Amino acid sequence: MLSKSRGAVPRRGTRTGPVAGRNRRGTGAALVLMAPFFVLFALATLAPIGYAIYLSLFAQRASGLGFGGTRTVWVGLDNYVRVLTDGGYTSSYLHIAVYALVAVPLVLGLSVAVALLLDSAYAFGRRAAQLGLFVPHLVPGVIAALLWAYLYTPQVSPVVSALNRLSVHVNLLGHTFSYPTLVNVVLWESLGYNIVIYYASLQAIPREMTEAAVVDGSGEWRTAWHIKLPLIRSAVALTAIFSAIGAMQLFAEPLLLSDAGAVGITPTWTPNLYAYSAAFTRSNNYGVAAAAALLLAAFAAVLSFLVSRWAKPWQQT
Amino acid sequence: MNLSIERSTRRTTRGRAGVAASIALLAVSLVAACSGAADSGGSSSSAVDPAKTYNLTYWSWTKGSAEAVEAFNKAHPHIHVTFQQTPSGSKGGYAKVSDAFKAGNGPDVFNAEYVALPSFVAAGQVADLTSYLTPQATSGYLPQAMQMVTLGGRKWGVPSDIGAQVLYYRKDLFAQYGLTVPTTWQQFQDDAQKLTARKPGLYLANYTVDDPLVLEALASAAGANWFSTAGDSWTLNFTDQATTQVANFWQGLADKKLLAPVFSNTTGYTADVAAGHILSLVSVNWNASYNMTNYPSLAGKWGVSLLPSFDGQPTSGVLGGSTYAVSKSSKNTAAAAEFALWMTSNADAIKARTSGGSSAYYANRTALQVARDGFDTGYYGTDIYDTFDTAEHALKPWTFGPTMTATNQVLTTKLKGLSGGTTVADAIAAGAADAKQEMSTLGLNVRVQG
Repeated sequence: MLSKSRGAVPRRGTRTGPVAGRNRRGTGAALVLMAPFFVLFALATLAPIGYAIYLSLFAQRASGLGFGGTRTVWVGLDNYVRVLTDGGYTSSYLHIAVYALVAVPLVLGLSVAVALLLDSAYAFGRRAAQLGLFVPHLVPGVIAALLWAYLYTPQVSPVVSALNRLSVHVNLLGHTFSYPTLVNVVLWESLGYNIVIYYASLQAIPREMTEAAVVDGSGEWRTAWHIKLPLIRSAVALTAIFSAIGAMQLFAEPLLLSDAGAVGITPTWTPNLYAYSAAFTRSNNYGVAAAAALLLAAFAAVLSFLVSRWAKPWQQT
Repeated sequence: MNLSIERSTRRTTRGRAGVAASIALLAVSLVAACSGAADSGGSSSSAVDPAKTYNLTYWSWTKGSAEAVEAFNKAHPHIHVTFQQTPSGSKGGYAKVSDAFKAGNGPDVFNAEYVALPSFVAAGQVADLTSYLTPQATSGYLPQAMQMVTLGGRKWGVPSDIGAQVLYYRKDLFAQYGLTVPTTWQQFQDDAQKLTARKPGLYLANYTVDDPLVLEALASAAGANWFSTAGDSWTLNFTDQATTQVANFWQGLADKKLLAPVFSNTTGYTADVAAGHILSLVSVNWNASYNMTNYPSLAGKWGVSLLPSFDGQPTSGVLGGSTYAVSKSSKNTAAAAEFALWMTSNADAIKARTSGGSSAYYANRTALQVARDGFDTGYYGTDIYDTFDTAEHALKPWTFGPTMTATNQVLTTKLKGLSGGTTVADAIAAGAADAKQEMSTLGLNVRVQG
C-alpha cells in the first residue's frame, strides 16, 4: 500500500526519485505476482521434500512375533546406508545410465534428422507427417507401454507372428531385448514432441541465411549440417536435458513390461521403481522409500547442475 | 457363553472401549439368557448392545459388497455400516488400508487375503478376535480356514472364501493324445513327456511355479510349512524335504523342456491355453469362473480333478481366499466382529457377493451352500463343487509370514529364471534370505530351521 501511494506521486525534482519509486512499486507488484508460485512451490515441493527427509530418518520396529504392533524409532542415516548397500538400488542406476546412453542420442538424433527432413525443400505432406509423428506423443505413457507389451507378447503379437513367418524367431520379452524394447516404447513417445520443438526452431531461422548459403553454392545437406543444426542447438540442448531427466524418472514403462513377463526387467529396475516398491508393493517401508527417493533427487540435482553448466555455450545461439 | 464373557472381561484392562464392550456383553448375555431371543445373525457374538447405535466403516474391493452391506444394514437397525470401495489388495488396497491406519483414519473392517493377514497382524494393525470367534460362533466354518486365520494361538480374522488347488485338464485333448488324468506327480511327468514327444509345441502345463503363490501352495500340499510361530519367535523352514521335492520336480520338468515357456497370469499364457497349446492348469477352485470368461469357447472341454500328489493321497494347498479383519483402532470391535461373521455366513450377503458368477468356496457351511446353488454348472457339465469339497478337506496347514509381500516379490523376480539361469531352489533360497532379513530388520525374533 505504502509503496503504491508513494509511487503514485510523481517526484520530478530529484534525479533518483522516479527510479526509486518505480523500483519500489516494481518490487511490490513482483512480490504479489510471484507469491502464488512460492506458496504452491512451498506446499507442493518443499513441504513434501521436508516430510520425505523426516520419514527417511525413522523406521518401524516391532518385537517378538510383532503382534504388539510397531513403534516408530529414530534410526539416523540407517535407511540411507541400507539403500546404498543394496545391490538392487545401485544397479538400478546402472540400468538408467545404460538406458540413457542408448535412448537419449537415438531419440535426439532421429528427431533432428526427421525435423531437418521436414524442413527441407523436398518434404512432401509436411503437415500430415508432422501430425502423424506427433500423435504417438498424445498417447499416455502407460497406454503406450500396454500396447507395446501386447505387440511384444509372442502368442498374441501380429509383429512376432509376421517375423516367425519370415523364419525370424525372437523372444522380445527375453533378456537380450530388455533395453531395445524399452527404448522403443519411449522413442515413439518422445519423437513427435522433439520434432515439433526442432521444427519450430528451424522455422524461426531467418530465410536470408539459408538463401545466402544456397547462393554461395551450399547443397541441402551442407546447409542442414553447417547452417541449420548450429542454429537450433539450444533447442537440442533443452530436449537433451528433458530426455535425461525422463530417463531418471523412468517408471511406468518398465513396470508394465515387467508385469507383461519381460524377463530382464525386475520390479526394482529403476530408482523410481525401487522407491515405489519399497513403499507400496514390498513392505510398506516408507523410511527406505524416502531415502531412495531423496538420493535420486540429489543425484538428479547434481547432474542437472553439471549438464546445464556444460550445455551453457550450447544454449546461447 | 461363559467362556466368551470371561475372555472379554480380561480385555477390560485395555481401556474404556474394552470396559464398555464387556458391560455391553454382560447385559446382552443376560438378556439373551432370559428371553432366548437370538439376533438375526444367529452365530454372531452377543457383545453388541441393541440399545446403542454403532457406526462402522468397511473397505473392500470384493464384488457385490455394496449390496451385501445394504442387506446387513437393513437387518441390523442398531449397526450402520458405511461401505467404501478400494482397489484390490495387491493393486494398492493394502497400501491404502495400511496408510490409513498410520494416519489414524482407517476402516473398522477390511478384507485381507490369507497371504496378507499376517503382515497386518505383525504390524499390530488388526484386532485379536479370539474372544468373539468362540467354538460356537465358528462351528459352521471349515477348520482348515480357521487354521489360516490363527496365528500364535490367537484368531485374527473371519474367513470368507478359501481357495484350494485343483487340476483343470482338457478332457478332449487328453482323450485325443491318450493321456490319463494324473493322480501322482510321477504320472503328471509321464503325461508331460508323452504329450510333448507326440506333438512338439504342446505342453501339459506352463512354468506354473513362476507364480510364488502357486509354488507355496504346492509346497504346502506336499507337507511343507515355511513359517511357524513357537513361543515368542518366528521359525523359518524353507529347506524341508517337501519343499525340496517340489522344487526339484518342477526344475526337472523345466530342464527337460516339458513346460510351456510362458509365465503365468500373462496375456501370452491365456492365449496359449485358449489355443490348446497348454492342456492342464495347476490352479484353484475360484479360477473355475475365470475360465468361463477367459475361454468361452472351451465350454464342456474341461475336466476338474484333485491336485496330483507325491504319495497318491488326496492333498491340496491354500491358494487365495480372503478374510474379514477388524482394525485394532476400531472402537466397536464387537459390532465389527458381528458384521464380519454375518458377511461371511448370511445367505443374502453371499447371494449379493456371488451374483455375476463365482466359483468361490466359502468357509462357512451356509454360505457355501448358497454359492454352490448359485453356480452355473453348464460350462463344466458337472457339479465341480464335489471335487472342490474333497480338495478343501484335504488342505494341509500352512502359515504365511509377516513380510510375505516382500518375500513373494523376491520369489517372482528370481523365478523368472525358469526361462534359463537361476533354479527354483535358488529362488526359494533367495526368498528365505529375504524373509529373514526383512523380519530381523523389523525387529522380530526369527529362527531358521534346517
